[in-house]
Amino acid sequence: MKTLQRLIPNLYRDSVSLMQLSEEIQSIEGITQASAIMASENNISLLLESGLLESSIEPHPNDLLIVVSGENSKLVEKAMETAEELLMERKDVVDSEAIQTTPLRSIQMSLEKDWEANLALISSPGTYAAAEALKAMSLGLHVLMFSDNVSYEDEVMLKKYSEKHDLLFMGPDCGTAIINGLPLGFANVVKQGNIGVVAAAGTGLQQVTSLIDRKGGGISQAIGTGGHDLSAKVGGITMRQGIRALAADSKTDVIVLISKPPSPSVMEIVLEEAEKAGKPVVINFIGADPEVISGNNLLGVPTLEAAAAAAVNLALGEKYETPRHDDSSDLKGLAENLVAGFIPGQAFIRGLFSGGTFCFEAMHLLGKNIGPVYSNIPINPDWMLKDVWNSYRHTAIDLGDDLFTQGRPHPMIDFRLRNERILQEAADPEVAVILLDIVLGYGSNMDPASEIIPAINKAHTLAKNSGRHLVFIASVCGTESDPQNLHQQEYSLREAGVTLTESNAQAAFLAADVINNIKG
Amino acid sequence: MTIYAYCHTTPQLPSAFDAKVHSVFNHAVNLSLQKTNHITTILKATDILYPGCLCLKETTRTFRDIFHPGQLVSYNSGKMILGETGERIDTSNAKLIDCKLAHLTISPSQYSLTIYEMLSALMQKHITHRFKNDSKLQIQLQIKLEYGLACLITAVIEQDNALALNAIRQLVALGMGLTPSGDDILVGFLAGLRTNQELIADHETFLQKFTSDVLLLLNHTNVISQQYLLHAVNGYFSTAIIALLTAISSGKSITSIEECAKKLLTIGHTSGVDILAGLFGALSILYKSHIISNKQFSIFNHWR
Repeated sequence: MKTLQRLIPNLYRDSVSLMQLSEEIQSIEGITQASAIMASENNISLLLESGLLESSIEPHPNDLLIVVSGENSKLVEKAMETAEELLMERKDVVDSEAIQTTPLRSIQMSLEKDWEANLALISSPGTYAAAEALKAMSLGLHVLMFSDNVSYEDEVMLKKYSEKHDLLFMGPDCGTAIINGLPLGFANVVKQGNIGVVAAAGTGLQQVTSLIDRKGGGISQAIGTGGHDLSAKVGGITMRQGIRALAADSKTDVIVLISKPPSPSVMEIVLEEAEKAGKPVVINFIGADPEVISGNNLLGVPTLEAAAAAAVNLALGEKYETPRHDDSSDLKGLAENLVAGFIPGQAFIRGLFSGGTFCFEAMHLLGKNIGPVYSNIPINPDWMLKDVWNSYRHTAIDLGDDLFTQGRPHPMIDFRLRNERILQEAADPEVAVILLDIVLGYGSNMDPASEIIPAINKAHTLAKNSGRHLVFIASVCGTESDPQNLHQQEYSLREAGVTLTESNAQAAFLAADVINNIKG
Repeated sequence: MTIYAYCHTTPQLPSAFDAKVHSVFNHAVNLSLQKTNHITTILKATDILYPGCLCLKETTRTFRDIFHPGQLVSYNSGKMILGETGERIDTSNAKLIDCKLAHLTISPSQYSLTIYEMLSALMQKHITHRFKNDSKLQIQLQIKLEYGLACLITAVIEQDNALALNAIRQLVALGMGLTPSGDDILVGFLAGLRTNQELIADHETFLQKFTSDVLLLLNHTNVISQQYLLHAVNGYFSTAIIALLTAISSGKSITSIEECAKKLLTIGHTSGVDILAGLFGALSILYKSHIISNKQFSIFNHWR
């Protein structure tokens, strides 16, 4: 074993950067421990006591101390070089940009540099986002606004402005879109094709576009509207604009609309617009009865998966008939197998979701099949959890809710909170099924399987030690072209004993079937 | 180009000074004042303010676009001029926000067991993983932080200044980042301690000795963290800490208190939960009989 230490004078980095650096170095093969920490007296004692430092050094509280320990000198020296490069690289990039080039300080300056740009992505704090969006649109740019906390008044003002000037305004709080094949925000890498999507639900858009890709179809454009667009106050301005844009687009043959159920008045005008499109329009108002959608070219479907399947069929010029879940003997058979091993008292599902739309869709499907599902975002106000940190009977949690993300990254990136909750649920003797979503694509964690599997393994052990058996059911939202390697992720999850389904809807159906089988 | 300051906080900046840019981050820059070597911070507009800082409205650029380490800065009569670029920061119309913690009294009836349990549960839910894996370093750090805080609490209950000095020595500069966890715990503890007057015999003398011990060990930590500790010693705290203590002291509803605690938890990566741990530890002295009879003190679980 070899240990190497280096002191970098007057170098200040925040704790997140230092933790990331330590983890990055520690993940190098042959490196057993690594730490980047301010060289204070107490931290030196800490390093000595944990065996990372072999002998004491003089404290320098304003200097950064890097310590690397590994199998041999060569590996350790190389890792130390990498650590220093990573630290300096970040600094150099910033300094060189600041010194050698004029920083781009406004949208106008960016346009002067690249006059062909026609879309601005705005991610400033909500208080300033509206002003920036207005500036961008006044310069003739379409806008995707990632920022949230924009008032309804500002949203309506911006959307009316965009409509008047024939510009597309996606947002606010629009986390995903695919424009001319370019993924924006959290988005999957999908094949280009003839299906256009307009969605007021972020992970809903990701699920539909990914499944279209996996079913052999392709995407012309995927437009996010922001979650408030179909409210009575906003009136579906962006969704109607999106429909018009896709109707006029020669590369789009089929349109898909995704949203939570809109207010009735908005639904009426959106459906009117869709009827005028002159192309097949597949609609999933998640949780709403698809039968309420009628019109020559309109097709209401019950799930996100059905929306993708219908779009692919219609894009190929084929007819589409919604399959009945009851017909799926595969899922029924699987559910019967999964029940083996439960002990009396195990009766409930705990859904732990990183995608809000996945949670919402699962709650509707579970609710229809097994009764009340308690949640932090319940579909029925009576089913609001009294304490969102503790589940009750059947529970589904949206861990991406603001309540859980304060001071930490979104659960699609940071799995810590979900992993903790998995262990909490596994310790509950009433739990039979843990239902999960795994989201791949740009913006998401680069290796979600390796993040969550240790928690799943611990949960299995915990249950086994109490004589119980736990069932994990999940769906992976992603494509073969996503940077995370879909097959590798799915393989690892299956190896960890997770039952995977094609879609979030199937995962929810399967979980409900397992519970109904327990009831006998 | 002139940037307009949105607000500044107490303790106020000197009316004129020369300084050097000490360190630059995307949303914060630290200036080292040349005569005193004190650090003052310039922040982008944010909803939590810190003592002795200046808050700017600049939105289009990151601070790395405006400042660089070593850059000279000159300030006089509300105008700051940045060396090399000649950019100006105008503070003349900036609103002054007071970060001095008022004299608050919190009795056991205001700090009810329900609030105690709520804060305890909140901390336990916001488990702070300092490293991804359970490394020996992490375990050791957890043990040291827990032990240091336990010693602080015991020192106050026992009115033992020697034990307090030892506890401060164990915590100062312990942990990662710009404000190490141990320092954050001390800041939270100092805030909580300032409100416990009724329950600590000869509170004023004890507090005076306690703060002078913190000052004694100030140079054990880095200059940025030193500044926050110095402000805490002088009774200045972030607006999130003040809001939480004020909510408890003024008998606000448990929901409002929980909101304030959650806001505090948003500070930094681990700072919020560490400050809350210190603050919770100090307030828990109100339940000293409860603590003494229950050797397993629930606060410590939040690091596990």
